[in-house]
Amino acid sequence: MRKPGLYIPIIIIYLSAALVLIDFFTNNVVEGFASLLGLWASIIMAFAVLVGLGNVVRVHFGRALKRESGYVYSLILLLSAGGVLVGGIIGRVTNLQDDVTNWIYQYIYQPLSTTLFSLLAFLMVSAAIKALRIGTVESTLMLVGALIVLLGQVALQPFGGLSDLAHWFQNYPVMGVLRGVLIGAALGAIATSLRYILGVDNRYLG
Amino acid sequence: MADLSSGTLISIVIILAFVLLYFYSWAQLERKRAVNLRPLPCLNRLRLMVQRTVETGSKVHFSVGNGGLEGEAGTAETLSGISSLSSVQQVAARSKGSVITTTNDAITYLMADATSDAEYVQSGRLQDYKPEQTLFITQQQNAAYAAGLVSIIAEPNISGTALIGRIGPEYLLLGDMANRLDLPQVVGTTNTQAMPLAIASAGFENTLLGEEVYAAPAYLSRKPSQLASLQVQDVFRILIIIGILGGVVAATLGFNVGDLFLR
Repeated sequence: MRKPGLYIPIIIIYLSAALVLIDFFTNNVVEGFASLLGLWASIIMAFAVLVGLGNVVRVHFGRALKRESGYVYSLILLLSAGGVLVGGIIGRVTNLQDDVTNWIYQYIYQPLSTTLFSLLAFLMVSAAIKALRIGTVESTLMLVGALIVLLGQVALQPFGGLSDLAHWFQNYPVMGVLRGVLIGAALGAIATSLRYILGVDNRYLG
Repeated sequence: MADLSSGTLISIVIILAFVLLYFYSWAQLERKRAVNLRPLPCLNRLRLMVQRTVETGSKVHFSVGNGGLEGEAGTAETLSGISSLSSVQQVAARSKGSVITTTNDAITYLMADATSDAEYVQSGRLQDYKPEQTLFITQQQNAAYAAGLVSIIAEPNISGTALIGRIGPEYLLLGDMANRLDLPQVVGTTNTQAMPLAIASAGFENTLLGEEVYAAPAYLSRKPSQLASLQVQDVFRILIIIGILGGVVAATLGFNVGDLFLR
């Protein structure tokens, strides 16, 4: 038997879900309710980020205090987080507004992020070699398909002839499989969402 | 007065049918009607990975993906990840195993923490759950999140990694590190760009594709409430297949049925 206090959030979930669905399916009944809830969610999110930041500080401060392996990285993380926070506050206090945080984002975070993503090209090759080495039917088929599509993009002879095959490959077998996957995933998404809306999956309530 | 178009009415009827069928299947399953599931061995491996942590004193890393819960694309995947986490934490709490969870969104973090905490309370092991077992890595920064996961699984006490939820091609960073460390890995994604990369990195037998991500909670928990949703999905899948075949036959005979499915 659930604690009586837990019925209150479930009732709120039912009401919110019902009103959002009515807003989605009708005109002029509860106009704008979904966007209002979205606004409330954004406000809650701002406070949730503070709780998340508390988790980051607690975990990494603890590591630094105990001198666990890699504690130097924890210190760097704490200093970086503190630096961005202080930069943001200074920007708001002075006339710089978001200039400081935007500069950090544009000139430090973005290049780091782009560098990390650029590694993916090499990791793809590494993963492909590993898949080829394992040699299962599925991975071999996948790699043969990828090779045909890749060579089909090459304009030079003798690969020009593969272009039609590559297009056929993308337009029929691949597109058919993709649509099958998307239909299955959409049904799964509907079922999962309904379980949460109906309060069946409610372990997060305690 | 509400102005309902025929398309809206059809959508409402479909949702109501989905809900009614779901409760019917649930009631049938509660009466011990058996259900046959096709095997998904990687989820059994995930369960074993968690159970073995008690013998080795290690931890399994579990990620609910990089998605959030603010209504953008990927919310349902994240919810499925949370449901899978609930089952994984239940296994961990009952077998005295240990799981470390990572999130890329503040609301998801709170939900994952509350879910894990509830499973430990349910198993009477509240004192064994530490808030440090659920980690907030970043707020919707996919590159930073992937980098954070790489450093977490590189820690010496991690014996395996699983990711069920939303993830893009950046999974390769995590998968490559797991391969280098020879860590067992399980990955589930509905992102069509990430699927081939996940298969190449983790292997076909360790990858959950598309709808399997949403089926994972049912496989892990075996609860009637979860299994019922699988049955309803199957019913609707069969109806969609019949619809597609009917559409093909109608189009072949010269009837224009395409407009019925377009808004």
